[in-house]
Amino acid sequence: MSSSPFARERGSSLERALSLRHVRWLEVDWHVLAVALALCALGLVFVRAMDQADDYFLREDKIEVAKQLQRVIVTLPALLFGLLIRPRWLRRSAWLVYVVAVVLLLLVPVIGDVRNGARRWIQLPFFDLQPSELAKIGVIVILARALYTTRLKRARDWILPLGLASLPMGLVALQPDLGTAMTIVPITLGMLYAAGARARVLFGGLALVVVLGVVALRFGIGHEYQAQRVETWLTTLSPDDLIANRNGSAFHPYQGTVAIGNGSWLGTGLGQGVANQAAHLPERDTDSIFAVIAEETGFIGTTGLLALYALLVILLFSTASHVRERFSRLVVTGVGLYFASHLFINVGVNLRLLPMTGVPLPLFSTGGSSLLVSFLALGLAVGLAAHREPSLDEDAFRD
Amino acid sequence: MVQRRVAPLIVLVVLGFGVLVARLFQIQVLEHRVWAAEAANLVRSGLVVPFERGAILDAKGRELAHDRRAFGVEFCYRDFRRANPLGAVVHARSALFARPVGYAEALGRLGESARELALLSPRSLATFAKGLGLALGNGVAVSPSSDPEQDQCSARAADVRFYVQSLLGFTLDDRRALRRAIADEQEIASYTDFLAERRSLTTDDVLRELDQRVADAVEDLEKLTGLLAVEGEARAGRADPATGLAGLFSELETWRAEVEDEVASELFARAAGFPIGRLDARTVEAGLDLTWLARVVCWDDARLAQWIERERAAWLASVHDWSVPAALAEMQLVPADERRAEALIGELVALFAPRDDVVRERRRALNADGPLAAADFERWLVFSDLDTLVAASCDDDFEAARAQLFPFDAARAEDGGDPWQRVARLELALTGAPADAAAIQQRAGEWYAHAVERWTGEWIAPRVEALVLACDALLQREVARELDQLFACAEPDEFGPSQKLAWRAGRVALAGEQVAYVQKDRGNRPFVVERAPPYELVETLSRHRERFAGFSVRARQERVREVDAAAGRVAADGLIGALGEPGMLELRRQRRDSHEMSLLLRQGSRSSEESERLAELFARVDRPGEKRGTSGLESYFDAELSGHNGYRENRGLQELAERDAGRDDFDLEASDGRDLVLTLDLELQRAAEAVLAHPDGDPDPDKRDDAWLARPVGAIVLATVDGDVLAAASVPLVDRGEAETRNQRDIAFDRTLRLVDHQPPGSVFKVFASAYALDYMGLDRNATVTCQATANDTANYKGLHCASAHGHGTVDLSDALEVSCNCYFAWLGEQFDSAKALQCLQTFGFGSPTGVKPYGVRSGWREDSWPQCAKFEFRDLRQRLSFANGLSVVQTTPMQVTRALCGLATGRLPEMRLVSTIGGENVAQSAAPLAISAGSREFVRQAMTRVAAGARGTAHAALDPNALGFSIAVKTGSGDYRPLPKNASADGSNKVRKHTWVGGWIPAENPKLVFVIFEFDTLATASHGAVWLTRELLKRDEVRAWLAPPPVVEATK
Repeated sequence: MSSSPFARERGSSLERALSLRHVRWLEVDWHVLAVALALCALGLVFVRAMDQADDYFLREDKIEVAKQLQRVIVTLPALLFGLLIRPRWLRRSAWLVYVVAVVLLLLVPVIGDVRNGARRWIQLPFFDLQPSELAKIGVIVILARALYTTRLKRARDWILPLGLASLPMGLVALQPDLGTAMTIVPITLGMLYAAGARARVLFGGLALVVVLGVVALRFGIGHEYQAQRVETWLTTLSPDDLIANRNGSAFHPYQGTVAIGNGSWLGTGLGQGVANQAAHLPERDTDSIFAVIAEETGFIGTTGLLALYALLVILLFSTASHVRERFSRLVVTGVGLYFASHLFINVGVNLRLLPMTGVPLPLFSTGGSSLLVSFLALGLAVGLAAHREPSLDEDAFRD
Repeated sequence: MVQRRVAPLIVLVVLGFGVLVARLFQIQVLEHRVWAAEAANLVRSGLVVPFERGAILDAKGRELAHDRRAFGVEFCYRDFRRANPLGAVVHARSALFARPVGYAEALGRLGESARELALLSPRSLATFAKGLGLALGNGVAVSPSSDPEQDQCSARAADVRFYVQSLLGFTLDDRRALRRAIADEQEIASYTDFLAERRSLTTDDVLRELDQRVADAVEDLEKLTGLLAVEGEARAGRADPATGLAGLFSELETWRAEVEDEVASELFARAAGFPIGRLDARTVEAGLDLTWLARVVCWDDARLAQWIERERAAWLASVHDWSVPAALAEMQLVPADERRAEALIGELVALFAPRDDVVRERRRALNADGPLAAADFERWLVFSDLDTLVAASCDDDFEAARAQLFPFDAARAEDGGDPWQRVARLELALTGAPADAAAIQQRAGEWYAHAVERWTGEWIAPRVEALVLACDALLQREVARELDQLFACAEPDEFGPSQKLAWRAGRVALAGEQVAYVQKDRGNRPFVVERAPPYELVETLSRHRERFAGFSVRARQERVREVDAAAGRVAADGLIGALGEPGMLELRRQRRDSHEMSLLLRQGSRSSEESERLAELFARVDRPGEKRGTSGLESYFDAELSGHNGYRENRGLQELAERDAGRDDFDLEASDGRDLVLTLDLELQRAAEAVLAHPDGDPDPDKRDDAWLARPVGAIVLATVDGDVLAAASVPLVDRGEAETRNQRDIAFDRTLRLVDHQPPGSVFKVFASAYALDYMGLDRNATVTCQATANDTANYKGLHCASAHGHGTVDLSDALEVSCNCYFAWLGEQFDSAKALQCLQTFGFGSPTGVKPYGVRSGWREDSWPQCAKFEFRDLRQRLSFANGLSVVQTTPMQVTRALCGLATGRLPEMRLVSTIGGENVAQSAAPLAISAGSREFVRQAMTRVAAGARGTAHAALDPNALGFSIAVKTGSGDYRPLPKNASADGSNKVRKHTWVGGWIPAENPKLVFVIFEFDTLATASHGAVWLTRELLKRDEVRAWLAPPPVVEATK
């Protein structure tokens, strides 16, 4: 007996959550995955160059490509996991995902590890998990769920999504990890826009955030180092000022800019940049990996890489635009926004368009949490778009 | 709807992409030159190639002073601690126990400690990094940490890991294999087990090898101690008199402490924004929690306190040694007007302004080539950072309170008033003295008088120092008060582990980012172990570098002087002079060039013009530690003796350069200095110095001056008749007595060219007055004067007494010269008017430079002139009577007398010459005809011959030609210096202190050698003093050898 697509499904809980059968494999956006995996492979190439440079100079705390490869292997199944998740189950379990993410965030102060003055990590066998990264997935899913039934026509429609986004954002900011918290802002604003919010209102909201940030800085709200970073950014906009402060608060941005600027048109060659050779650039395998890439591949190579990354984001948005089911479309859009926000914040910081803050470049930066979330997000985006799920929401009938 | 909502997002992404690419283009393409230069500087290493200073040689080409390549032993603490097993154990245990473990302490159970470390496992260190405890052998345990991050557990574990691997001799491959094994989660019982398995040995074998390595290291250090002890004299003078291994440990601890102090100071400054030394030690210890810093450098509280005290003391010392001289130099570099006041205020304000402002303002000042602009400084050192340094804060208006404290507001006010009044107001305000108008006026006047009307550095320096210290006292008082307030306001969680004010996390993180960089940078600083190491030490260190990690042999240039081995003296010491590092004024003067040079060096690539300019600057700017002539010939001819430094630039990291010999980017060859060949004859110089060092006096003990003989002061000049100086010797050779009680007799300097106090030539001048009078005043050589005592008085002429109390009777000119009759020459002097006297002096070159300085006035090597000579005028009869006697109204130097005698001997007045060639080029020898007739000169010569040969001659007793073996023309002279206080001499007589002279030439008929012997400040007359010195000199073999005709060389068939 052929079952109606609208018939209530039966089967185990696992089957309700994950399904190979419901994925329309021919409609999977393989080109999205190809671009993402290409980016990941390229990242490994750069990490390997760092590994070799560290070996050459006998550095104690060396960057290890083997470890990164291991992380890729360990986290890659998350891609498949995301791909198999069924939209309906995810929509129904969105609150669960969100609660898990928030609970993990709440657990950080209790069981988390402290590094560089912040408590952000929970130790796992293969890598240390950063719950703030997982929280981004939680925010994407819960916002999609919250916006699934509203088009934000009324003021009260805004309360729930904003409240849901603010909670993890606040918890992350308290760790303190303002950079990660700030990546949630464009994701939230973008998803609100995708859900129907008026652009004028969103820009107003963005302006309000900026104003609140300025006020917070002016009145010393927040951590002193955050104000210091903004001050450093504002006072070292010109090359001369940056150079003058290179041994003080502008040490990190100076080292990053030197590496980028040293690249010129064609770059210094793999592993041959000053960032790898002198190793003065902090976090060169994570938050500052873009500076290393820019130095070693030059303007042409870096532009190509940025284009590839932008292509990934555009492909994700494009995928989203072809998804008829509203919840899935919002999730896919959120994933696109996740990569876009990281790209623009990470590269913006490295290019000193933004104050210094620690945000990884997904698929490139070393670190298990970032990889895990990136693969999971990609899997979700591609999987939700390729799932054969009946939908009766009104968007399903729009063209 | 769907497309409408996604499309704008895509547009935003594209726009964002455009912005990023545009910015990337700006940095990578448009600003590439700037950043490439910065990048190049991050990995560029440059090496200054020092020039070789020109040698100074005597007339026969023997080196009196020259540069030579010497070897010294240096020590690099970082290399030692990383590679020497003892260093590894000490630092591993320091890291484990978070306190400084000393070398002596570690030596006690070195083998056991090394084994304990070797038996640690990677896993145990990994857990230690997370704050868990660690069990060492022998029941010793490292306690767990309650706050692993605060206690730097991870960094300490990494350090221990490194030292353990170093101890066990891990190769690069071993390290890689270990990493792989850890990554593969292999079970590794200990580092020793890992190595044993890798090398197919047993654990015991590896431990035995370790024991051997440790024992060898100790044995090598003991051997090194023995070799270092060869230079024991100098080392024994050190503060810690410990010898043997204990002595070496003491030095190791000193070097270690210096490195760690510097690391801590740098990290503190980077985190705090100001140096630790700028705060009173008690304030820091009472107020600020420095646990974070102590953990980074593995210090305990006692070591931390020691560092704080030491840094404060160093800053206070730097006020005297650096800040004050720098301020004075800045004042001197600007015109002597009100800009000096501005320079002073600017320097003071800069000293109390935050560092980045100082740097910025200095740059600006450099560009404007003027003093620092005080008005640009608004912030107050320490206060600019204090409220953002600690976690605690108070509600009061900190900013306003701080602004009121800035003490320079009054001084820097642009009120258009007299800047010296601003200085005075500042001084009165800081010292708490009443600052009414009159007091300001008076104080400003004093400053003006000492800083503008005449430069009185001795007056200014203590006042500037007092200003700095008063300002510092104000700063300390207010900081202590502010910290007290913060202490009262602080919440419980705003205190650190030591219950003092905790720092803000960002501040500590700022320093934390740079720990590795600072440790590497400071740890590589070399210490000088031995400047003149014995050969065996150099050989041992060169051949067995791997056994003496940290110790290395470094080649360097050193200036060597010719030493008379027999006498133990350096030849012509005072004349040749000394080298020293440039003074503050010179350094500041070079600042502009130095700044430009550093900017060019920082450029990643340079145009050919820029490279040329860089080469030009290298020729001009001293390298750090470069020595320049500070006195004597070394100073006067510094420009000729100095070359210019070369520079070899290598693009690439030090490590890369060592392995791959990175390519040269800029290569400027050093250019050596030029050699000076002097006219001095080394033997004659030594002879003259020997005579002066151990002078003979009159054999009659009643006639000689034993006190002078015991502490001789004087000079000898020997010259050819053409004016080439053969010897120029002076005593004393070194300063005598305590600095506070030294007078002119005790100070060592070249006296052949100097006029010290009052220096009349006495009767030596009679020969010149005679020759002049014969030619220009129609003096009848047969005219006589009666020199006779009267019933009431000793022999005198109109009150000018003769040396002979009874008188010489009736004497003509020839007799008068032979017996040196003052009465005759008083009469002759009476015939001189002022114009004639001046002409006489000028004829023989008195009062003008001798020409010995070919380049005129330069610093360092001084020749005194007699400025009054140019406007010579008699004021009274007494002066005229004294003139021809060479008394009081005439002043001269030994070199001027020598030149005048050369003229008298040959009829040509030469320019004296001390340097015959410079860099192979001849220094012209010149002479002008002496405007004295041959007949007059011959008459005087004959009279001078009788001074020695005649029975009545004043020099006959000592310089009888029959006794000497050659004829001699000579004249003695004694010029009164100052009367001795009554009853002051030992024999109760009231003698007059005098300078005595003997001048002349040999042989008398055919002059070859001109000599002048000068005794400074003696009681004996020339006949009883200087003539005996002359005899001693002329009887020396060196003089006789020089006078002997050159051996006839028979032509070989």
